[in-house]
Amino acid sequence: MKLKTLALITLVTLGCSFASAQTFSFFDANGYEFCDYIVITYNSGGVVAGYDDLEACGLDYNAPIVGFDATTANDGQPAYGKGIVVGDGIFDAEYDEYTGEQWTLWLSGKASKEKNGHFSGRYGWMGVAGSYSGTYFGDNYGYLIAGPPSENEVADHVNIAGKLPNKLRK
Amino acid sequence: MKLKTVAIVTLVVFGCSFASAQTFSFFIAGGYEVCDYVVITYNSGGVVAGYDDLTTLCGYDFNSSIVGFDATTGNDGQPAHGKGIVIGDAIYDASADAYTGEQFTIWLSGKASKMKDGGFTGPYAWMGVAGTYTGLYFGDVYGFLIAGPPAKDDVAGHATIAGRLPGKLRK
Repeated sequence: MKLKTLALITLVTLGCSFASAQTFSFFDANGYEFCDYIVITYNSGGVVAGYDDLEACGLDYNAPIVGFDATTANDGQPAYGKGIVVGDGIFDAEYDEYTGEQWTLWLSGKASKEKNGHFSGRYGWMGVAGSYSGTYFGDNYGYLIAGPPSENEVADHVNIAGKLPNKLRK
Repeated sequence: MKLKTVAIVTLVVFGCSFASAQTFSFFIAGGYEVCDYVVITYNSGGVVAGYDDLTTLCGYDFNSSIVGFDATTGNDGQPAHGKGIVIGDAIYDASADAYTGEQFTIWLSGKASKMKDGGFTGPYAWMGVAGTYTGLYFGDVYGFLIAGPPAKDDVAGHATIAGRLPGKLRK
């Protein structure tokens, strides 16, 4: 009985949280797949860390990601729920300098559902971007799958943060 | 009756979320106040944005961008958690004026810390975590939160919320 309980707890835990060394790929709301992907290397005590693999996009450096296991509520945004919220240094990594911009991601604890080659159900991630002047300049969101993208499928595709709106700082 | 309801709803909303143009200062556990402070300029639809002021009292050339979500962190053993916001903060790159390969992210409580007889009481109200572009997690910092910017004289010579850069890792 105790073993059964332990097994159940283990399953629930693995089903609802981000284990270390997990990889996730991103599609936008229309099914366009991005070239970069997230690798979670650390998840302990409510803290999550890893990197956004931009070398897969042909850039020189990956971006750091770090944040928390966190739940976002339905406040009118297109994607929300239980998962993680991580700051992502993607803009500065892409330009190899301080751009004055920040990108932060919410990722669902569950991968998106697929049926007959199409996604269904709720969106699995949302990213937001802001500047050092305090300007909020938009979001992006879509579906999430486990594993890295296939190289052939994302050749010449943009990264999850899209094009830098402006190089604000200089 | 309807007006009463509206008034109550309004109070609840302002009591539990970050309104725009709010400013928050940070004390590290132990009572040390840091020189930078966060200014929230945008909070709508579950999204929060603003900047971490590194120029006014810390003497850096640029502020850092902050952006994130209204979010609740659970009690998973970390020193600070609860309902509030989680924001990415580009403080390492801003203070180095370069891409350092490092990222700082902060959870802030929706409630300022309580004070009694000049000291803080109650749970910690913020926690920051730091990581690198190689996926290395290199630590946290946490403490108490108050509304408003710090007094200039109180933070002269003090470090920022993220402390010293562990190393400029990228180059």
